[in-house]
Amino acid sequence: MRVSSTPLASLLVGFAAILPTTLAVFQDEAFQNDWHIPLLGPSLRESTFFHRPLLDAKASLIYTLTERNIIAALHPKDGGIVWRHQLEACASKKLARAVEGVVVAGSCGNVKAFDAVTGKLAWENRFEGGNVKDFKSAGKEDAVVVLFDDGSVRMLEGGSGIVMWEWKGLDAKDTPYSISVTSDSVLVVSVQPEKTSNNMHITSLVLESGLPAKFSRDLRSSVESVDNILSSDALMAWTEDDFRILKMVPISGGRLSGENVKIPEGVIDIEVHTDSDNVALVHYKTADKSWGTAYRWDYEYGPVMSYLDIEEKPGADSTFSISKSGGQTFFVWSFANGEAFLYGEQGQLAEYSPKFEYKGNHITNAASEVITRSDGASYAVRSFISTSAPGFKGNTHLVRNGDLEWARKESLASVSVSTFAELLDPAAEKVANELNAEGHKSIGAAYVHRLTRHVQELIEYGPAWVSGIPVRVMDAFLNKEKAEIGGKWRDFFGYRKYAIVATEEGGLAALDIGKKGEIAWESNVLPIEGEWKGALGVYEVSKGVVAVVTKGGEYLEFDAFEGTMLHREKIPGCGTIKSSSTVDGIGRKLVLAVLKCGKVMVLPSGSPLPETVFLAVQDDAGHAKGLKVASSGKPEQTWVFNPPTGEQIASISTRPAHDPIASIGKVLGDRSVMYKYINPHLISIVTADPNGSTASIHLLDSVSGAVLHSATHTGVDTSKPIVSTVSENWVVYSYYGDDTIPGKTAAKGYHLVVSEIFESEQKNDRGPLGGAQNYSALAGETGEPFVLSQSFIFPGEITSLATTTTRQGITSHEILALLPEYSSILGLPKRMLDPRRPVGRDANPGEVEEGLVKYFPVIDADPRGMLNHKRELVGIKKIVTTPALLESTSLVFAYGGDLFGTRVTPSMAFDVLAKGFSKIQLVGTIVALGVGVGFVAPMVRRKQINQRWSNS
Amino acid sequence: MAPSGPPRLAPLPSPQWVIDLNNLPTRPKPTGTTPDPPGFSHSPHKTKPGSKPTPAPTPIETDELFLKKAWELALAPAKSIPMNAIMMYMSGNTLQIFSIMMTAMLFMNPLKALSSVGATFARFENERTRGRLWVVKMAYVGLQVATIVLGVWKVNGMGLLPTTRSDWLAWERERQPLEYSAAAFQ
Repeated sequence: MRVSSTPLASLLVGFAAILPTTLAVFQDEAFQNDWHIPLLGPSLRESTFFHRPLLDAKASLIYTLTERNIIAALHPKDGGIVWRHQLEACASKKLARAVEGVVVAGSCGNVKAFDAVTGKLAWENRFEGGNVKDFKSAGKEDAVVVLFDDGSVRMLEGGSGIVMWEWKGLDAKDTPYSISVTSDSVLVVSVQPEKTSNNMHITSLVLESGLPAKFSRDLRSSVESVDNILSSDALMAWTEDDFRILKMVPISGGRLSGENVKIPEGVIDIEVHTDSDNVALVHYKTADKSWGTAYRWDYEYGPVMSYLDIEEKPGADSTFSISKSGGQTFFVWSFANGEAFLYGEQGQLAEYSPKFEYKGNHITNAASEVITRSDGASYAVRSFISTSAPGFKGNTHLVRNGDLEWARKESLASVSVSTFAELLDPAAEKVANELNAEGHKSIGAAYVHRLTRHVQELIEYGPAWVSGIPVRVMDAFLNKEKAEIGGKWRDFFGYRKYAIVATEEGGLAALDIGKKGEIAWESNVLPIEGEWKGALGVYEVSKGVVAVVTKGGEYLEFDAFEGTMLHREKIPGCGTIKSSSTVDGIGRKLVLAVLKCGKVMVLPSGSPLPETVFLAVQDDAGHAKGLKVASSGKPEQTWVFNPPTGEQIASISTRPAHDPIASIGKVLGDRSVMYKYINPHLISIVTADPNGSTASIHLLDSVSGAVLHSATHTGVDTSKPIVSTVSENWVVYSYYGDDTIPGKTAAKGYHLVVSEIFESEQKNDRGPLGGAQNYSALAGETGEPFVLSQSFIFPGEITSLATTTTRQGITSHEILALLPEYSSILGLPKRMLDPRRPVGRDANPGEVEEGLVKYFPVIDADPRGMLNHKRELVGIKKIVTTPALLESTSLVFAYGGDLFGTRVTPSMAFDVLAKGFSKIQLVGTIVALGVGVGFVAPMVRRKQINQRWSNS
Repeated sequence: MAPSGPPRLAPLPSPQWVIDLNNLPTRPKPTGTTPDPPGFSHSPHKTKPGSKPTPAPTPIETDELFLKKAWELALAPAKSIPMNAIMMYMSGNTLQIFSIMMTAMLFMNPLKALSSVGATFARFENERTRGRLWVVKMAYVGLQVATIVLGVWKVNGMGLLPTTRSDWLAWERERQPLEYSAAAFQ
């Protein structure tokens, strides 16, 4: 251990460096300090259903495939996730259906079957060429018949997924639409565009062989537009004649001349629900009421006949769901006000009065399960209902017999931008006015003022404080958690902050990251008129105020604690907003919005910039460029960074807004100093060339545009993610190296590269500027900084990188890597990624003192370093960090799919007692010692006296 | 006239034990029957016949003797320096209770000695030696300083002296940029 005679700060730095780096989440902290909200996303109507995982299973599970390509099984009792899987993302249709014992999901060209109970992959098959369009169970031996959008039909064997037969005879002009299976045949519905309308074909194949049936039911009918098709399951239903006629044709039927129904006046929306057998329900909606008609058809040849009319009810905001049980078909009609009605074959069976409300939500779809109770006259109804509110899409609820059992905030799966809002310090806020008053007085008057304030406080709070001492002491002994101060008041260690998040649909919500992600408030930033294009950025502009910039060109300010809108304005200028940023204003932060036409607006409009801002932006051509924004807000281009020919910008990162540096140099083993190159204007641009398989890193000064450092890597697979993060004087980035590119090989695998930037290669040298107090990036050539780099192989794909930030920057950093293959976030101590690690030899004593260990080319994805320990993180896109009040602690929040939050202490929790610290034991030991001394002291005294006497 | 008042009592005769105590019998001289041990003589100085009596040392001789003694005293620390150096070298540069104590001693003892140089040499000092004693004192001081230097060397080895650049790093300030920049990439 080395102790230097420098003051406290560097001592602390030394201390922080000596302490062992966290390699694990402690057992007593797991599930205490972290929280996780597993989310699925909005459920797809066709692919959400109740299903018994096994034939003899007592209870069913809810199976759902969501817009975010997650297939999951939910427990209807508590809404817990039984299992879930992330499927490949594709623009094409995705579907999930239950087959005996398994749940089959089709997305892209893949068909996967998951065990319905455990969620284990039962079988899968991948196909090139076409994406899955539709599939059905073949009815026997769990085989599945799949229709692909290239027109091919394949029957896959249950249990293995092997192709049993394949048919590719569809007319090249036909667009496959859906598929249906009867007892002996496969019916393929396709649509062929004609000049004015579309021809619909139903092609029949033999189920056993896949050959075209001898007795082909090649039916023809015209469909005005494919968009008008409402259902294509067992019943083709579409509207014609400008929404005046509803046509319904059972696919399995022998004739194409189905039912033509006249759509009544005033109907604005029609939903057709089928039970994939021979019952369909048409749901008509007008502006203020809705009703339904149930249809049935004979399986083989019969016509479509209406058999039940469901009377109209006020409130169009409702949805039907069909459930079959015990040979009966039930319809459940759920309303947004919580009301629900159950219909059977003959009519209404039960009514559930509204007991709760989907606050401000519209019902979008529902899946229900109805069971006839043993008495035969009453029914148990469970409905899984998806709702949407402005900005929040796909929240799900389970309603059991009219009561809300649980709800899931699935809408938060689409969080796209976030910021942290600091909570208020209760102690400081209370006296803020008083302190302000003192500031405006003379020293003497201020002293008297403060003295009187203190005396008043003593009178006011003193007695209560004294009488509260025993309780406080006892609580401290028993490690009892203090009653948390809620709302906008922060806690003692600053673990509580609000994460203000905006969803892709335009919702704005505040999550309390210190309270397991509890939602503090919800609002939305949707435009009053016009189309919603997305949120660009959320910023904390002043204490308790957050600002949102939307791509559509609006600027909104919200109260961060209450969620009330404080200010709203249309950003003047031209077109949509490209990017935004915050800059320091007077007493608050200002938002800069870069418009598509190149203008820069200062928001809220009318506020002047206190000084000239050098703004780095990316233009449409993919170049980075610098703008000089004068205090009037007028931009002037200063530099352009053109990536080398063929390369495109893959990743840009800048130093975090809060990035304090405790020590401006790195102390080496011989106690000399390598000075860090500290430049607040530092930006790191990683460019990639897909054709040349190269990737380059460029470090730029965003004021002058000077390239400080460049390096090129060859043999890069640019289709894999390239990510980077910058902090202090270093940049860490990751790419995938490939060894198959001729002439440009790289070690195959994910590379993690760290570059550290120093003022000078020489020790004890502060570079060309020396000890200057300040500097100007525009003053001219100051020489290039010295860059040290080192590359490591990492065993997994990294889709996002972040770094921890602490209050003073004394604590060492940890690099947080998002690993989707591991469903985890890994915390890598920065010391492991040190380019000064000795290569090919053991560290010498000096280097050991620095904490450097021998270079080893592989960095492990150590499971002990996973911040999420046992939790499984799915779909997360971004990690953000913010300091807590404790220097040792950084708060982590991850979003984009699941929501996850935790606290990390990269240099251990050196400034707070561990939870396991036993105060009772400490005090007990002291008391025991005191008692012992009290007993022993007189004995010893007596003995000594006796000794004297006996000797003389 | 005889003063009036109570009749004055004659003083009490001293008790026998006080008288005894006051008139201790002289220790009886050893009888002449026991011969004196060899080399013991009752007569204080019996010059041998034939040898001349040694003359009393002259002041110059005494001064010489004083200076010699003073030099011995002054050079004593020199003997401990090599030992200290070896001990310091052996104890290593780690901060442990023993090395800290030893290093502290290395400063304490010389400082104590330096603060009492005058007292140390006072017994050798008189009007005549004063002129020559200062060299001795200088040697003494020099050796104590050498011991301190040894301690300084040790402390430096322990890394406790602010002699390197890193010790002053905390006073160096980050350079402040004159421009203000922001990045808007998203």
